[in-house]
Amino acid sequence: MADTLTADFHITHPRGPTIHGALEMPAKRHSITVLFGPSGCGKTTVLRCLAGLERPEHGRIIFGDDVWFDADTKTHLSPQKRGIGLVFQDYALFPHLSVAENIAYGLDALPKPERQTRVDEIIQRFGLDEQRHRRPRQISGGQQQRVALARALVTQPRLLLLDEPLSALDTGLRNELREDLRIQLKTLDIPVVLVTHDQAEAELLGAQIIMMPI
Amino acid sequence: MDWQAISLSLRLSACTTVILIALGLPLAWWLANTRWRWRFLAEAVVALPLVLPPTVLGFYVLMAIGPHSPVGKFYESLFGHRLPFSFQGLLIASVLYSLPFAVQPFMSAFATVDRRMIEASWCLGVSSFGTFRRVVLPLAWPGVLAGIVLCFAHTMGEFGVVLMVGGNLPGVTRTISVSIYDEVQALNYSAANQTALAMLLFSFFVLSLTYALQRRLLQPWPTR
Repeated sequence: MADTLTADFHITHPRGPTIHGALEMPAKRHSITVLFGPSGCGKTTVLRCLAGLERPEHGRIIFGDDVWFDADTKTHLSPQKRGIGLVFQDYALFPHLSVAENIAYGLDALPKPERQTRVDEIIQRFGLDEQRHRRPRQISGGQQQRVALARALVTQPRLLLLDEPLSALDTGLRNELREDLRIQLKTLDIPVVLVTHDQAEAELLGAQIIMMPI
Repeated sequence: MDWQAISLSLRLSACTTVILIALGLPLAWWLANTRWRWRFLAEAVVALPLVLPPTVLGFYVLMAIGPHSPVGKFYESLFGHRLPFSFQGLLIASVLYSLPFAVQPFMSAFATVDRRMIEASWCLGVSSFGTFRRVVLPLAWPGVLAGIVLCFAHTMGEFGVVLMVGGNLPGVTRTISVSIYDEVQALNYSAANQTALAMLLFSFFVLSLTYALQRRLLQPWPTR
């Protein structure tokens, strides 16, 4: 029990359907769970509930020994306290900050030398050295995706959440980067939950595929 | 030109603006984000000075800070003088009267900030205050600056509320508008014209600056 991420909850959007989120996966080692389904089926809502950005009405979310959400005890841990990394669908990079500043954004609590080392390491790992001083609008879609992933991973999260990580790219680039993303994710030692409506992406990346009903 | 009145108006505007930055930013942020069902009532209270005659607002402020009111008694016991017809009393009235001129532009500016930027910041472990300081303010700054400029300019031109709460004491409560009114009453049109022209040019400059900021001419990055 203590080594799993267990989520089973219901959330109803105003004027929308009730969405049931249910998944169980290892919490302390690498594994990929793909939430797969058509647009509008509630995949992103489930991901947002895992991140703490939305609060379900019923159920619970337990990560290892930590209760992230429990409707019965009215427990709801804020996103800041969950230790997650979230990559948004269109990356949500801060437009007023450079690539390096975007990546360093969540490391404010660290001493400056350690922060610098971590940022330099991840910039090298993701091949973003040439872009480090550029603003997000000055780099390509593929590079933005890598910055978003680097920014989420540099804080050393316990769980990585990816919301349609390739859907903001055009088809050619998406096919090209699918394999790239698979290789990047394979190097991680944390669990990953990924949302997609792309079957090829789901099959290539997902060890466990959860079909979301319409 | 009545330099004493200009100096007093500048001091009043600067103090009002500083107070409204401190009060208005959190209030506007709360109003822009709250899901409180009675939010519209709070918005209406903030907007009241836009539609109320200045004399009405001035009258109630005068009643609220007068020597027989709890606020007035408390203030007098602390500082030994009364609030009405003092600079401090004028400042309280100015803050209330200029509240919507700061809060409404701040709210509009905050509404333009992409919600996902805020959520991305939270997910990176940054507190709500840190997110406000490091993401919301930098992205909303043209609108925030417009609110600050409007608030300053509006206070510079106050008349009705000033007259009701502050009266016409040179160097204490006699602002530019009151000075112009006095000159006209004394048929001294030349002096009135000098000060009025300076106010006209100042107001035109401030409004041009505000509109330029609202069109985000100075914003170096796209919001999305």
